[in-house]
Amino acid sequence: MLWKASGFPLLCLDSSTSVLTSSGPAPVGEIRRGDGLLCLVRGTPQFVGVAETARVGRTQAVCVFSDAGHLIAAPETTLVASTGPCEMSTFEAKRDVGAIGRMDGSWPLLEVLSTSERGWHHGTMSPGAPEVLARVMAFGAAGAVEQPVLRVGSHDKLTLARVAHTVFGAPYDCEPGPAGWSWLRGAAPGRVAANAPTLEAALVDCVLALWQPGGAEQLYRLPIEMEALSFFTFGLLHFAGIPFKVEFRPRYLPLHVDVSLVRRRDSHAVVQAVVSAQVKELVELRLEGRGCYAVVNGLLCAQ
Amino acid sequence: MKPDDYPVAVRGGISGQSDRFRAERKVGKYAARAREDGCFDRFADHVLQSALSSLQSPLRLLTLPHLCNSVAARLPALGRGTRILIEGFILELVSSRALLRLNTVSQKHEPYQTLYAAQDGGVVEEALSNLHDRVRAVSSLSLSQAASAVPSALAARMQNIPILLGALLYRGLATTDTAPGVALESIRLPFAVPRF
Repeated sequence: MLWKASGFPLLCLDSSTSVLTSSGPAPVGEIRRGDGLLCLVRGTPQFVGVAETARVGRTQAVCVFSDAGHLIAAPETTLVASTGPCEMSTFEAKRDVGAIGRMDGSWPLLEVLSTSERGWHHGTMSPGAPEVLARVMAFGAAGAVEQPVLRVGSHDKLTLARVAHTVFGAPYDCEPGPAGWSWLRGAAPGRVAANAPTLEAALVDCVLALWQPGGAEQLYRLPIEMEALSFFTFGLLHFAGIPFKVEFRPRYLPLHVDVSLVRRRDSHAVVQAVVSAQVKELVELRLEGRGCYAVVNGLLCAQ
Repeated sequence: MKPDDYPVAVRGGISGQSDRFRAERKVGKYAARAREDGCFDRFADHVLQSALSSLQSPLRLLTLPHLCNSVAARLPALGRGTRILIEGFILELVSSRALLRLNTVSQKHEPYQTLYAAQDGGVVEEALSNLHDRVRAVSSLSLSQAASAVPSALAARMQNIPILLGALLYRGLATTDTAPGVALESIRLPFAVPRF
């Protein structure tokens, strides 16, 4: 294990958690040696190179749900709380042991990357736009292999038309379905838009269209098991500097996640629930810089 | 475990006996009391064993109310004050991952969750993966076609099949031409030719 040799806190994350690179959010599982990750170094956001990555054999993890998003990481990974660094296992231990079948506990507030802090990127996503669209197609992939079909939430026609135009170009077909989903496909078989948009707003629209409408303006809902998409969405919103607030419902054992594009009341994140989790793959990262805080799903992890 | 050692909800009618109960905990939405702390742990173990009996042999996907009723039926001399605590104990088993959840949709196409034993996690995942692969290959699946595509442990109980197909609807991986309110008959890929 790398961390034992380094003596620094372990940074061991579920492979689908989202980190911020200079070209946009990316899952930890795709990070390679030499990539730059957004970190806070003495309070200043800057990209720090990855010195080493390693797949970890274990799958036991802890999931912390907060109003700024959730994070799944190895129990030894250290989150930065308002009271100081705190291991994920400590959050789990702070659950009220006298409460059976409840999600009560006294957890410290979490430090988060401020969405108003934009000094670390230049304000457009042109380098990453094709990658973001490729991820939209991958997250929303439905249907047979030979023709791309995009699963989207059952949003209003105008929203879906906008998204279809971005993803496929016009014209497109739409099939409404049950359980809050609809599907889009380009009318020309196999066609995906050749000119990817460079506007962050259009890309954010596309990603949020993969969520179901939550019943109110700028409120979106996703089943909890689609965590890779929710992680990526939180990463993109952070990257684009768009404030958002997250609610996990029902609180005692979340089944779905709601995200609303409103600013959270507190500058810290409030923990809503903590559960043990089993993941497919944990990835350990060692950064070139030490003593910095990596931005993971918008929360801060010590390294 | 003797019925006298079962924990009892405070609002379950234990007034006059409170000196008998020295331990107190929150169980789900209720405050509960028991003779001693160990009674809660022993009862939790009883609930786990009963839940596993209900969910396995044959493998069943059950909703939380169904599982609570099934567990209650397996515990002797169960009073109402204890019965209402079972849901809280089962939720604790879910949070400790002794029981797992599968989200699916009902006949009315509304989401709900079913529970199954953690030991059967691999079978359920395999079934969902098989069904998804199958519907992608042939564009549509009837109930009987679906039954032949899932492991026999799940196919042994026909009620499991619409639940598994509903899980694909819940995830937006397939759609259906079955009207809401009617038992699910088939699923198909979006844009595939409808089956009536």
